Amino acid sequence: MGSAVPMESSRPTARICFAIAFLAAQAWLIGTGARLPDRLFAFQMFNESSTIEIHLARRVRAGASQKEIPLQAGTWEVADAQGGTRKLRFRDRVRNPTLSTLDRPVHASYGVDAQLFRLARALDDAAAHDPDPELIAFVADVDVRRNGRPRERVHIESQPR
Amino acid sequence: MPGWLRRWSTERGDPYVVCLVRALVGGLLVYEAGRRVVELATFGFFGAVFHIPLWPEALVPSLPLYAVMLFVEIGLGALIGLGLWPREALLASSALGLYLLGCDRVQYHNNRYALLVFAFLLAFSPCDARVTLRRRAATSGAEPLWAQRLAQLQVCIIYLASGGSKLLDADWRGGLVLGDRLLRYGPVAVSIGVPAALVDWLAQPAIAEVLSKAAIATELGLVFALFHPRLRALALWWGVMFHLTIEVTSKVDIFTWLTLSMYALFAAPETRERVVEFGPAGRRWAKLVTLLDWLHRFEHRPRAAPGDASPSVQLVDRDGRVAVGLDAWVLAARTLPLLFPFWVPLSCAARLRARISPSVVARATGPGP
Repeated sequence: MGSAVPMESSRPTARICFAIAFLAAQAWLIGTGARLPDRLFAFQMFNESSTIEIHLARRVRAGASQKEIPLQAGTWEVADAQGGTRKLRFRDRVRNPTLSTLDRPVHASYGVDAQLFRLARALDDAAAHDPDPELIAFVADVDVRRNGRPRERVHIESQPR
Repeated sequence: MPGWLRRWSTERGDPYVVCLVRALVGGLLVYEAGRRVVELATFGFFGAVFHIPLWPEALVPSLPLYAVMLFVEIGLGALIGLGLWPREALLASSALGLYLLGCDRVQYHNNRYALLVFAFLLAFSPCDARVTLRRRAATSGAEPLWAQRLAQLQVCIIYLASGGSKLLDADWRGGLVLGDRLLRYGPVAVSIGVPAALVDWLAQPAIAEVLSKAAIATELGLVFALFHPRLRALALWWGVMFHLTIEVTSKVDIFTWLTLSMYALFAAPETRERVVEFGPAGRRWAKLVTLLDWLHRFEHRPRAAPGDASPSVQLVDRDGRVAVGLDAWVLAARTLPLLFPFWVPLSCAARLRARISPSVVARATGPGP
């Protein structure tokens, strides 16, 4: 029984066109991927040996002012409809092991820029799904060690609500 | 049209090796899809929590559809491995896999993407001709090889991208990346028995810089050496050692096994060009060669003549040269995948013996004391 995919073309030109298109696509993906923070499709293996240590806090309204409350073991409490409180965890929304490991250094897979890019989006996601009406933003202070260099701190905030 | 382009687009040959690679890729696809089923069961559905899709959110599948897709991927991988409509399955598997990869860029991994690209290319090769449960209509035995050559080129594209990015990175060139990696994972290496002094020595900045340059030179050198006829075998050996070293020292998922599977595509398509001749006493060795001859390099020729004074087993290379003893081991290591890591050391031992053998013979046959 014949294959639905053409087994053989009597036209070498078609193969050449296919190869050119494929190689052009690869070149484009690798070229543009190298400029993305997470290096998608760029085949950059072991590009960095860096660590990040994420410290999270929530900025909430406190009367006329604001205050930042650090997360405790990645958790925080919000008021529920019955007048009590319930505990929420950052890991409930953010399952990625690198992004959800807080307050200790972890390897920055695909590099610091990739993890900071993902973290920024994760903070936006967490803020969008936080039921607390007093929440203004999630705030992350990230201690970065890029390729063994001295630690530097990067500050990221989610979009304000 | 340039001659090399015409040759590439019209080349035909034995498709056995590409069929074998297809079966291996099928196994890897099943493994990858199975791993994601386990992730689904362990961590839940990615679409219900934080994810970053490349496609519009509306194109991210629901949980039931995602689960179905994963099992379809397992089924496609099985079809590919067993050689049942493998080309259609390869095309479908790579399309489905790339779509799912784009549903959450947080889960992107180079090894997953590479597997899907290779699956796509193999779909255009005659990978259904052999190593299949289904008989195809009889053919001349020579099939178009252009897609296989493109898959070989894809191996080099990966090396070029990886090595090129490292060459352009001052931290990589200067040894900072490798040095820090050796420092951070040194205790792990020591805990599994690597001498602490060796680990400390490797992590020194000057040594790390040399190793970094060697790694960059390896990746970029392979781009060219793999396509150079005289250098190919040595390049393959060096590449095997490079990847096995990475596999032992780092977590790279399936990438080592995917790359080594693709390395098989660089073997000459022609099969059974060499011969293993054996007498009754050499039957076990011949059987061992059979077991390890995954690329079908050898034809088996038992010697029936009684009283034959030839060695119990000997290997005959393509050019008719007969290899026995250590030379046979060298030829076996060069052609049998499982023994390939030993090829260069055995080859060096054989050359060393050839250098010292004349003097040994001379001492044995020279004038007495």
